[in-house]
Amino acid sequence: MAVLKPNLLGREVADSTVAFQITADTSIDAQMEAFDNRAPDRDAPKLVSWSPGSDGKYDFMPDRDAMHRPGDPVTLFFDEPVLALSVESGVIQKAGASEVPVK
Amino acid sequence: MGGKIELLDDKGNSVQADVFVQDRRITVDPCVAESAANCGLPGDKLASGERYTLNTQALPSVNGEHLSSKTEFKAMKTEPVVVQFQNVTDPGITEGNADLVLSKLNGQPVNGVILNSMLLGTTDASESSGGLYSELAYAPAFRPDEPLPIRVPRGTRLIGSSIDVKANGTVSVLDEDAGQSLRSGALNVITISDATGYLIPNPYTDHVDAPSHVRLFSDAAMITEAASTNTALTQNLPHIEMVGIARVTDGL
Repeated sequence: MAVLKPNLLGREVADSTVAFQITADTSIDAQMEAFDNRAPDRDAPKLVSWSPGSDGKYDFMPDRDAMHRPGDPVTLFFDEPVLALSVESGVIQKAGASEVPVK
Repeated sequence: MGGKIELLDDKGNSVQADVFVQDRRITVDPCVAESAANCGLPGDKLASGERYTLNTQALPSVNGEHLSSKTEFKAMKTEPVVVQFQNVTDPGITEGNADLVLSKLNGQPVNGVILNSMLLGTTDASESSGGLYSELAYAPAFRPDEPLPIRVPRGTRLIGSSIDVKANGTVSVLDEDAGQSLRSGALNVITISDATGYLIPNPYTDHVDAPSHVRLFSDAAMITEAASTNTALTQNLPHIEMVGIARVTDGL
């Protein structure tokens, strides 16, 4: 059992009590084979959405740059967690042809 | 900002480790496996019997003060380890079963995640499914009154069923593009560091059949499949402490 307190839209802290039940087959054969039958995750993370977002998607603000104020962060949302170490070398921001340092 | 967190072996060499920092919580997850994909699997292990030092140097707080600390520990021998596959029980929420599998601990359907908040009210239960590979230390090497270490590798994924998003738990939210009510899409919980914990002998009785206690510490990321709910809910949930019981019934 655990209590989770996720943030909602950055405005509210929700709470949730979860009770997990997990079972394992205790027969020796099943467990000896378990590790060999493991299916490793080979799918790369995919970008689900980002801010400021692509131009022309919504009628009310087709030019997304107009929403983005100087100093606003560029936010990327992926479909699975990204290894923190890989972000340093994997994410590059460019102004024209030159690289902009990111934090 | 400065500051440094490092894990040193007994010769003073630093050990490769992932560090997660959020608010006042810090997780240091050493990974000595050859590739990042093998972190948390049997090849990823600190040398048993060796002394390690966790060194924190001048870690700045938001108030400008600094924390320095040094903790030493000795890695215990856990080999040979047993890796077992564990299946997450289907409580029958998505099938609409009349007899849901209820938890003995809180009376709620097992593996169902319900969120309470002002924005969403009390949400419908999202049913988690999946499996995990837990690694158990060699039990005969530990005394019966000693806790037995367990580990669940990072990247373990529980897939939650989709739920409708309702404002205050009542009013359906419309997805403009689809013209239907907004659904969360699969609600996944993925561990981002190796979850570690212990099987603890039942402290209240000496009876051999009494369920052991389980304690597991994990860092997880919560992610939803649909883009708009993903933006609203995607986040890391560091330092989740789970408590529970473990017992054997009918060979399971």
